[in-house]
Amino acid sequence: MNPTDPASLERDLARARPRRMPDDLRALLAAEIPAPARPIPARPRVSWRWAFTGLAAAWAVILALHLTEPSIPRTGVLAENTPAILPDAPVRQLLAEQHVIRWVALLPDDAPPLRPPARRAPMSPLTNRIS
Amino acid sequence: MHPLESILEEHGDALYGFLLQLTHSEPDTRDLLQEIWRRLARNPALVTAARDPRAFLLRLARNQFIDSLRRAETRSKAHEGAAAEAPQVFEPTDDPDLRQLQDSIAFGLAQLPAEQRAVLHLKLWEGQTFEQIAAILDIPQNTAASRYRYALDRLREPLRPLYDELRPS
Repeated sequence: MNPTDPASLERDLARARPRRMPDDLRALLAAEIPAPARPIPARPRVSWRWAFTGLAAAWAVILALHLTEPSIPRTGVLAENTPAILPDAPVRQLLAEQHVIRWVALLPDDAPPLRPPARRAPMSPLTNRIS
Repeated sequence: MHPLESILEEHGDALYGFLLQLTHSEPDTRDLLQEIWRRLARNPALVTAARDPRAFLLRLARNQFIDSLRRAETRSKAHEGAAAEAPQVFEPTDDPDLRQLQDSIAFGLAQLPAEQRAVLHLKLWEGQTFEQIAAILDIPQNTAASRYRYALDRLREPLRPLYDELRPS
């Protein structure tokens, strides 16, 4: 030990160790450390590319089904192509007007001719009843 | 492990010792340390992104100390009063010789201005170079070196009786 020698003085000073952090303060600081956040499960993400691909595929399937489906003749075509099994012309005309021409094909040949519905009496504008 | 846990583990004692040396007050040291801790908790990346985390934290502590002095001038006077009380700034020991040495050093440190204590602490007990000390305390390197020399000179006197006592006759 020699106080006039700077190196000796530094060595002596360095022998003293600075005070360590008290345990209670360490615990206090440690308690303020936020808990690690739980990882949020990643939501399945649908990219625009896959969305458009899916839509295009669905449209293609619908189009293919539409093209391969046997065409259904419309009412007028059916009526012209199947005159033999249909009742007489007035009835056929009536059924065609009532949009039930398809049912006509199911009628038996000897079915009685259908009559047009009876004309109803006009209603009174005052009483709103059948006069 | 949370980044703050490793900071507390690696640098907690250094921060505490440095702040205690600056403030010479246990309650003020606790307050400043908690304030620093709150800032770090808000943004741990401040330290993890630093090139030298220890130097960054010491600089942060020094700035926090300066801010606290500016905020309350009356507290600065309280520091001067507390400095004369020579708080226990060293680790307690069972070795009587070492304890006597520590008491003498603590008494001498209490007579020093805070800026000289800061340089002495960083040089002797943190092992920082004058270049690093200058960066931490935001002072020129020559100023850091001269403060260190002044501090050693002023510590020599309170230690002289101890040297005389221990000198072999």
